[in-house]
Amino acid sequence: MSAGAAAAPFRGIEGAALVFAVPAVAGLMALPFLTVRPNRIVSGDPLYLWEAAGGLAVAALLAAALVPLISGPALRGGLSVAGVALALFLVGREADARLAEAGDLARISLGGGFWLMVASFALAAAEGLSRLEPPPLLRLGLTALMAAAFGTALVSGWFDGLSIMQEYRANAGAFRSAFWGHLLLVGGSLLPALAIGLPLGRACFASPRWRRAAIPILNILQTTPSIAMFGLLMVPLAALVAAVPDLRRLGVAGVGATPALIALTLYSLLPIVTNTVAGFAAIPAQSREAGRAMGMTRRGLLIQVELPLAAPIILTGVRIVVVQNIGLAAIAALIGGGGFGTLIFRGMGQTAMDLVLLGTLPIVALAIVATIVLDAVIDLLKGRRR
Amino acid sequence: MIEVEGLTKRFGATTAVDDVSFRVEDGEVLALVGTSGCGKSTTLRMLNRLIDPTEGTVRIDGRDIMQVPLEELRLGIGYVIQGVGLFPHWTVARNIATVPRLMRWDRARIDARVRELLELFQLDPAEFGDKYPAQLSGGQQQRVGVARAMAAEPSVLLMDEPFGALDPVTRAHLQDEFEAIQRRLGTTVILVTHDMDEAFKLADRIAVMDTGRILQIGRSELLLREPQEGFVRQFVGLDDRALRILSLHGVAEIATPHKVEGWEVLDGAVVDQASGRRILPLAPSDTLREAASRIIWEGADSLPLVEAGMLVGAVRAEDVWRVGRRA
Ligand SMILES: Nc1ncnc2c1ncn2[C@@H]1O[C@H](COP(=O)(O)OP(=O)(O)OP(=O)(O)O)[C@@H](O)[C@H]1O
Ligand SMILES: [Mg+2]
Repeated sequence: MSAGAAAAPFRGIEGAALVFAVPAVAGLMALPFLTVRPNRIVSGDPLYLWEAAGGLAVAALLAAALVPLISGPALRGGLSVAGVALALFLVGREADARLAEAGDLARISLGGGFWLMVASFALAAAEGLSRLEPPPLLRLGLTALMAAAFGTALVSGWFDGLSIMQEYRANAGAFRSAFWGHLLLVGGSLLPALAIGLPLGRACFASPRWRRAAIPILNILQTTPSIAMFGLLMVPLAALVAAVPDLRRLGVAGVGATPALIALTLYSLLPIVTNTVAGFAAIPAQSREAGRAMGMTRRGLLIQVELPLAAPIILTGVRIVVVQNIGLAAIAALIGGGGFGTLIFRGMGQTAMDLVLLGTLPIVALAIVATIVLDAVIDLLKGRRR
Repeated sequence: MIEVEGLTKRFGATTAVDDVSFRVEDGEVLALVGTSGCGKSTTLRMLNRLIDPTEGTVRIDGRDIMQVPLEELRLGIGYVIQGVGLFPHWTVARNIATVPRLMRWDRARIDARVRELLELFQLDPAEFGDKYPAQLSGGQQQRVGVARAMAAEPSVLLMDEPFGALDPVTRAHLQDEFEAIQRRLGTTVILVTHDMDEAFKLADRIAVMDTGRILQIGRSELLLREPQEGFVRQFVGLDDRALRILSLHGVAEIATPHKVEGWEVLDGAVVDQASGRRILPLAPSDTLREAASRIIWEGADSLPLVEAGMLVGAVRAEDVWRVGRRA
């Protein structure tokens, strides 16, 4: 009992969170928050969080140490969101201040301390808020709100002192075309994947013979490394275009977006087909029987009963595919397929880390947003029905 | 009218339904009874071609069902599937509207019909219309299942254990409800059940099935008075057959004006002037089984019959006994 009494003051604390809090604080102390370089080429000096001006930096350190320890998920989640905002606020303010000191050629880039702070608060926020199990519409609303807040800060120029934004201004056109190119790759592969995968999944559900034939092939496709897949597609496509020159006018080529779209489509098939099979298998036999007994046509039954009932599981497959392809599409740049990969690979070639980041961060953001939105849609579909 | 001739269904080596023949007249209720696995559902499912027969023919209103376009056939037949089978992703109202929507009724007509059916089955439309099946109790789901089958006022209704998962009170209430609706609309009904009481209560005729065959089919009273030796005898149950026969008759059938003088109606009850005792009177909708039970309870040799607050006659014990007696 005495041990319990001694522990009483700590009752409001998650003991396990110490595992995160201690390294986070140590990292924030030891890793530079920003790096200040006189120009783009030379290496720079670190700026630590504790060197940053004002009480806010101290507050950030304290928050990083204490917030993960709060045991109430609402408070922990909310303060963690505030922590991310604080990190973003500090980084913008410090960048402007250093730039004023060091001159216009200087480069202020994000340091490990910043990333650590954002990552640990973001994790704590996601973990804390998800414990509250907010309803899907609220989740969408919160996401939109946070995205809007970040977008406003971005547009208002809060981050303009950072080198990544300087890099953006120098590559605005390329960024825009990379953005649309990336969306084209993801969307343009999802549609044919659905057009092929849904009927194929339906066929595999209905017939063991189809299942035995299709699933192993899709498995092999799924495990083919992406570089190899692009290479394998280049040869037959080039041959095809050579044989049917009209295709070239439609934009088909051995390199570029065509093989990338085909590869991403092929990668999408396994998750969509297997989830379609699982979705159809989960339809209650009685719903199917009732639909037939009421006089629905096969088509009517499919559209009104089977697809809606299978939709949550099929959409789980779609979510897997979308998130997977948002990442995979980066590699399309290797064969001239466009997308954010172009910025990444160009940045790697020039050892310009800011350019790499300019390609990577939007990919991460897209994947997170896609996950949140599709999860919410799936939950909305499941709704109150079960 | 439903005419079934030589209907047979084989699944591989098992014969689920074996050379079954029967007729159901317009407005008649036929109960199909038998133990689990005897082929009741299979028979029913062949009638709207959820499965096709191996042999035999089915004619509905004179037309061979194999000649009627499949969807047209099914739209014209109300069907309550075993285990309810409401669509989980649709609200109660949408579930009930299934067939009217397939028949392209206009919106206003569908809404009115859904409201009417919900009220008929004692489900408040405002409360239940927008609920999902998972939010209903088993009994409420069954009511919606029956309402859905009756939505487009089909002339033929097939019901596979429609009142299975209900407590006796709700079940009796729903049976009454259903009986009234069926009488009013003159629906032709085939009802599958393994509950003999339900069969006697709702059906005009009963068919007893065992291992895919109809062993005996006839008016309910005939089944009680002259059951076939063996399975039918055992299944129908002879212990309380006199009471069951009584339950098939209404008190109005044998009421006489005799002894009305000695009684007086006094706020709902009847007072016997000789003894001063209050007697709960019979109503015209009561069965002779209820009359018999009350006669025994009151130790009386006759009971008053009251209709709309007026003493209209008496039911005599000796007349009741005569109805229940062997021929
Ligand atoms: N699709 C099918 N394939 C193979 N056998 C079947 C099929 N449907 C029914 N059977 C068999 O036919 C027989 C009759 O089944 P049916 O469903 O008609 O019984 P039931 O009288 O409705 O029983 P219960 O009262 O339990 O519902 C059973 O032996 C069953 O196993
Ligand atoms: Mg059955």
